[in-house]
Amino acid sequence: MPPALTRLKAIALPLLRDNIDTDELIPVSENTRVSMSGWGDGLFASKRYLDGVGRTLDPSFILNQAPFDQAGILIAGDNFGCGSSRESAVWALRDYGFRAVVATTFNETFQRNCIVNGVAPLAMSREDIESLAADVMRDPWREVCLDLNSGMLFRDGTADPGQAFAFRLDPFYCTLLTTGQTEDDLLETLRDAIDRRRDSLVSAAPWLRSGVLRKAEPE
Amino acid sequence: MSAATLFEKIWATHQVSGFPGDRAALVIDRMTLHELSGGYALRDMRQAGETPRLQSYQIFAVADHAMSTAPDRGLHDSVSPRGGEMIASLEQSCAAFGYRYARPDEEAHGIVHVAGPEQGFILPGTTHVCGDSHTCTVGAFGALAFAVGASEVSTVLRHAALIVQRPKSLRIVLNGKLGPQVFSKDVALRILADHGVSLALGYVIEFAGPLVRALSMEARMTLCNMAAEMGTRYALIAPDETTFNYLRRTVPASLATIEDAVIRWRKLETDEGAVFDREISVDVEDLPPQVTWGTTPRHAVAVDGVVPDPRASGDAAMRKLAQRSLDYMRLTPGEPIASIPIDAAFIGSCTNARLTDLRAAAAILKGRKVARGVRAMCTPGSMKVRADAEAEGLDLVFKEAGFAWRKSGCSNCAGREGPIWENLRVISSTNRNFENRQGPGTRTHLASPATVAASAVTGRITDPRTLLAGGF
Ligand code: SF4
Repeated sequence: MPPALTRLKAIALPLLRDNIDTDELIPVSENTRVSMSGWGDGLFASKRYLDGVGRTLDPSFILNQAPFDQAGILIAGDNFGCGSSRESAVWALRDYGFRAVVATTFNETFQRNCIVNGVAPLAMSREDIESLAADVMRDPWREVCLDLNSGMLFRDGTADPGQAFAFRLDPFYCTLLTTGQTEDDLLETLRDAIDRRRDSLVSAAPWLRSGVLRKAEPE
Repeated sequence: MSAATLFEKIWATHQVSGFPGDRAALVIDRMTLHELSGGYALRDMRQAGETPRLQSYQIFAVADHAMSTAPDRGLHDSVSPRGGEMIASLEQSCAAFGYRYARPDEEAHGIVHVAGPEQGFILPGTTHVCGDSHTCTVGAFGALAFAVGASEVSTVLRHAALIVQRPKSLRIVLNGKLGPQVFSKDVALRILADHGVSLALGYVIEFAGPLVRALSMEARMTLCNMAAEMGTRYALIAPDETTFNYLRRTVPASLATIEDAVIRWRKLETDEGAVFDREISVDVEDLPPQVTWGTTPRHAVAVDGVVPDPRASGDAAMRKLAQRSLDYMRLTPGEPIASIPIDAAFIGSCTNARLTDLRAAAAILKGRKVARGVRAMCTPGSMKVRADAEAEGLDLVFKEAGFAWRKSGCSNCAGREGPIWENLRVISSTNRNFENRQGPGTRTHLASPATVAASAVTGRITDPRTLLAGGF
C-alpha cells in the first residue's frame, strides 16, 4: 500500500515537452527487473546515460543537473504518460523519488497507474504550467509546495495567494492518495455483490464458461 | 427501456456499485495475461500464498513480448535480458493456479491480442482486461476490452472486478469504400492525422457505419488496435453476422450453445436513437495508402505526398514536435514520401500480422525480390496464423522474396529482437513510431502490410498501387 500523501515540498523538474511517453520514461531495455520495485535508475535511461547500461551520466540531461537530480515533482506538457501501459513507467518515477507530476493532460492508464502507486497526477492549465516552470528555472533551489486537500500548488515561502496555482485532481483519486486507501480495499467491501453478479451473468449466459481449450495431444 | 449504446448495455450488466466521480465497480469476465504485466501479479500472489478468484475459464495466458521468434526457439528462449526468467515464471504460475498457458510450440501461441480471439476467448458483451495498452484490439468483437496496469491485474485476480471511471462516448462513423491496396490501417492513420493522438482521451470509441460493416474481423481488429493511439483505452464495434461467423468457427462450445449466444449477442448493438457525447464521420472514398513520416502515429500522410513543413503545423508546440521528429527521422520538408530509401521492412505485431495481412503482403511479394540491402522480416501474429499461411504456401512467397519467416510474438514491434535495426530506417506494419521504440535510433515509418511489402521490394517507400493493380 502506498504511503498517504497530503502535502509535499520538493524540488521541481521542468520538462515542458508534450507527449512524454512511457518508452521515454522507462525504455524497453530497462524492463528487465522481475519485481515491482527497484526501478529508479531506469528512469529516462535513454536520455540520462551516455552509454546505457554503463550508467555514465550525461551531464547535459536536466535530471542529472543539481538541484533537479533531487526533484520530487515533475512538470510537463500535454498527454503525459502516453504510449505503452507499462506500469514500470510509474515505478521508475516513484522509485527515483517523484511523488507528483504536473501536466496539462495525462494518459488515462498512466494516471490510474500513478494513483495505485501513490504518485499524484495533477492537471494544470498550460499557462500556469509555463509560468510555474519559468519561475522554477529562475530559482530552481526554491521548493514547490503542494497541498492535495486544498488543490493548490505554490512556491516555498510564497505568502501571496495570487502566486498559487490551482490544479485539478479527481476527488476520488484525491481521497485514495490522501488516505492511502486502495481500490482493493473498496472492492473487498463488495465481495458478495461481485460474486452474485458474476453468478447471475454466467447462469444467464452459460457460454461464458467456455474458456480456451487445452492442447489436444498428450504432453 | 430507453435507447442505449453498445457500451451502455455492457456497462449496465456488469456494474455492481457506483462510486463518486462517475465510477463504478465492474465485474470482469475475462483476462489475458502476458509475461510482463501478468507475470508480476501472479508471482506476487504465489509468494504471498494467495489464491486468485478468477477461475480457469476466465484466463488465457501467453508469453509474447519477450519470447524469441527464432524458427528454432525453445520454450523459454528470449533475446530480452531476463526474458527467459519472466516466461518461465508465467508458465509456472499458470501451472500452479490451473490457468491455460499457451506454450510457444502450440498453435494457440501468439501475440495476446491475436491469439485470444483465434482461440475463441473473446466474446461479445463481456468485460475483458489485459495488462497491455492494445487490449482494445479485441473490442472489435463487441467486448468491453481495456488495458490495465500490472497492479490492476492483481486487483482483478483478487476480486474479479475493477473500479472503472465511466468514459464519455464517441461514435466514429466510417463511410465509403476502400480503394485497391487501401486498408483499415490506412483509415486509422488518416483519422490520427486529422484528429490527433488525443482525439478519444476519456472516451469510449464505437466504430460504426457502412465501411465497418463491410470489414472482416481482422480488419476491424486493426482499426480497434489503432484506437489505442487515439488516446483511449476502449474501442468497440457492434457484433454482426461477420462476428458471429468468426465465433462459430472459434468458440469451443457446442453449436447449439453458440446459437443461443448469437440470439443474445444480436441485441447488443447500439439502439437507434441512442445518444453519443460526440460523433465524427470519416469518408474514406478516395483515401490513398498512408505512411507516417514522424515520431507520433498522427504524423501520417498519403504515400504519394511529401514530408510536411513543420512551419505549416498548427501551434508552436506542434511545430516544435514536428521539427524534432524530422531531426530524429533525418528527413527534409518537401521530400516526396515515396522516394525515401529504407533499410528494413517488418510485417508483424497485433496491428497487422493476421492471415489477411500476410495475404495482402504476399500478393505483392509473389514473384518479386526484396531490394538489395533491405533486411526484411515477417513474424506472424500467432502460430495458427503461421500454420494457416504455410497451408496456403505464403511462407514460400515470403522466403523466396527474401523475407525472414519467423515464429509468433511481439518481436521488433517493440525492439525485442535486440538492436538489429540500430539507426536504421524501417517500414513497419506496427502501431507505434516513437523514438527508439524499435531499437536505438531506429526510424520507424508505419504503414499497411501491403505498403511495407511494396517498399521492401523497391527499397524505397512505395505506393502498393504502383506495383499491383486490382482490388483486395
Ligand atoms: S505486438 Fe507490439 S503493440 Fe502489440 S502487444 Fe506486442 S509489443 Fe504491444
